[in-house]
Amino acid sequence: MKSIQKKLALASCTLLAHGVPSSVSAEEGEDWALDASLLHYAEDERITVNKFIGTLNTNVSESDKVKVDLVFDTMSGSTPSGALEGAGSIATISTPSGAGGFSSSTGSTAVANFEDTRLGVSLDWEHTKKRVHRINYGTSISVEKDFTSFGLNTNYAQDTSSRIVTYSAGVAVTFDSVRRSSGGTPEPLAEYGQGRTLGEGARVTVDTIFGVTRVLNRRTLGQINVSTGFNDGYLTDPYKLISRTRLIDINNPSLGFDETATYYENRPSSRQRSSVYTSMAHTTRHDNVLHMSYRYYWDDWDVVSNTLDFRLKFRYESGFFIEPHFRLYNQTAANFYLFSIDQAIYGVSGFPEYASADYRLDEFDATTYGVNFGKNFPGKGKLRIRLEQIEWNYANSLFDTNNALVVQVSYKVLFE
Amino acid sequence: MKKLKTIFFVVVILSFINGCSTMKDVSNTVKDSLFNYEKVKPWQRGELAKEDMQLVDDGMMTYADDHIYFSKEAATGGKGVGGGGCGCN
Amino acid sequence: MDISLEKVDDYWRGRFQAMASPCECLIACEDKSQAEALVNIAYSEAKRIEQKFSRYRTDNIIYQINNSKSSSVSVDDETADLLDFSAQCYQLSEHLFDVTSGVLREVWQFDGSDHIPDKNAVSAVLERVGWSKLSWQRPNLKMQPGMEIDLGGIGKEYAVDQAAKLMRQSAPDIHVLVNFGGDLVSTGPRLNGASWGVGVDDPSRTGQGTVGGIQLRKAAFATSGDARRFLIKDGKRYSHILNPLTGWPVENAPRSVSVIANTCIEAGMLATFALLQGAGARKFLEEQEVVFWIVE
Repeated sequence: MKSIQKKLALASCTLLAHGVPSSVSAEEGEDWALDASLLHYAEDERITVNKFIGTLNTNVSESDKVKVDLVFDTMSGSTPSGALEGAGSIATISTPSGAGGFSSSTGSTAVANFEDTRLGVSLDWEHTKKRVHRINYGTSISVEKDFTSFGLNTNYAQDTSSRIVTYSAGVAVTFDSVRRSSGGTPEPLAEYGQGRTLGEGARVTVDTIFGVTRVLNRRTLGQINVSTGFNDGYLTDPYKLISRTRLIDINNPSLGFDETATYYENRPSSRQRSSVYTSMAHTTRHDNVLHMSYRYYWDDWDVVSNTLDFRLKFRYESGFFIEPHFRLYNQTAANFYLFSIDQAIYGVSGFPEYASADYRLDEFDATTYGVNFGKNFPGKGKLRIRLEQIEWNYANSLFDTNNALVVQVSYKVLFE
Repeated sequence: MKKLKTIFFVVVILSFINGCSTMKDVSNTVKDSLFNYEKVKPWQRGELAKEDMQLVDDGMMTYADDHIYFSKEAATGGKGVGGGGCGCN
Repeated sequence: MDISLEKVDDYWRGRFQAMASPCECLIACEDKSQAEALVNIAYSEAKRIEQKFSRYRTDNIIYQINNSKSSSVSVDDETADLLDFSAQCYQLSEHLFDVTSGVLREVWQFDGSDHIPDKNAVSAVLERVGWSKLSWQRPNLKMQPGMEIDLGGIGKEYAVDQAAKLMRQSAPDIHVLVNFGGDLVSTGPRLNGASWGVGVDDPSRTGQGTVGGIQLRKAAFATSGDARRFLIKDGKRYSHILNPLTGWPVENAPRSVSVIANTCIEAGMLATFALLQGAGARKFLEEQEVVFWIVE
């Protein structure tokens, strides 16, 4: 019954799931598992991301497991900057005679173009003592043109003697360095194209998690996690902008507004986050596997969100499976989120202390519809294919909807 | 894009026709999962042992999801801690 | 034709070289052929004015005037209008703006070097400078020997206003922004209702960056300054803006002055007049009660 031990260990691993796959081989006899995945993410006329993920799991000894992950991704396309369409961008330049050269017309600042590649590596070592205690030590590094991250994490899990319940606690610390690909970070709330260029933005993130996993019955596993953490340092997005606007005609609001200036955004330098997450895995009477989870999140930026995730897996003798997937998400806006800096409130040169027009801090909901399917080759490996569509609806942002298509193909190979 | 939604619903319906399909199934599922507590003995762990029954049964998909939603949403985490950050948020 | 045309956001941008300057026209319309037609109108007008008033040519009215050897020259209406305007500017600026001051370039070459002319040389040339020394009775112009008319100071702004006028006549519903060498006018907002974002060249990084921007809907904007044309000797910077009364550069003028007005020629003149006041530029502009921008 050794494999059950591994299974519960795996269940605990999910508490510690360092955002990276913990696809430890659960089959007897297989000491190695190599999982490779290609992901294609494409938004409607916006960002496209292609990712390659590779995970190698190995049992070094009876009580030790090591996992290595490699991630390589490329991102390109455009994303809303937070500034408004058109004006605020420089269409032409007035120069004295002889100054020569054409204007460097920047076009619209409403959308920013992107191109970046990222490389990430993480390592995890799990040590089991007396089959009841598990400690994980992990480290990760991620590098891209405008972002570097280094993290350490550790997790401890313990089963009760009956193995019905597992308690776990974990902590992770990450150090990030943020900058623009053109260098430095902009002076907060300075006018776009002006202001000083400041140094790199550094920040630290500390996360803790406490969880209980319980076997509810022979066909159901449940879990509840309570997490809390904070970010401290440079939390602003160095590319994002916000516009100042005024009504074209105060007496005729339907004429719309005029963008009078564009600035770099500014976010607080600290953030306190918490969440309660529950999830369940259940095998139904028809032998299908249901996964459901719900998370309630809140932070001191006044973002409150609900996430509901639902999957139902239909399995067949041949090893083939098909699994519809549905996710519902909503969030409130951060308290410093603004569509624009309204001149009626802030005048021509006044500012709020913090301001961001980043659509990701807006009030919105997101719905995901997806289908996973594939084939299990017992003892040998597993092929999974995923197709998902995500739809966003924003309450305030300039672009009020967004759509993305996700295609992911993964193959796991077990050997030795 | 609309096509995928249709595919999704078609798959759901077909799966249900294939597998379970009635409201009774739904209420059974609710009962069986959340309202049925037993002290499971080691030899009764057959189902729980299956890979599909792990809370994170496919790490690759979970990883991809985490990164996608991390870069598009303000809320993060819940499932676990640590892991490689990315500059996307 | 050497006109480039490309779509930027919701407008078309046509660029060409004319009057020894980079020129661009922004056309707020969707249709490419309409934009093309309008840019061609601007191009033609710029070229026409260049041909007619350039002092580098030997086949135009300016050449005739500058080689008239003191005989009287009868000019056409357009030239007469410009000469009338020059006369008014001469009066309004209290003689600081003078279209006969072009001959000073014989002793002053603003090439960033330290070749400051000899005082006597300047005085000698100054003999041939002064609007009051010529006789202008529309349509007849009679100058003293060695005098020259240089309309470089108003030609571009005039061309901008003319081009915009012709484009409006051709397509009254299409708003445009015409920018010849940094002096510009816009006739109305963009298609999306937004104003045109106009950046002001940063004199310390001329051609490379801006010091700010304004939103222009229906107005003209002109910038005057000493960007690339100056001399430095003994740590002193000599602006290329010459005082026609002394023959020497204006002292302590700001690096750059920008003004908003109804027409480009008005904006251009105000900017130039301000610079000619040297240290008094700001006070001058404040008295005019116009919207202006000064970079020291």
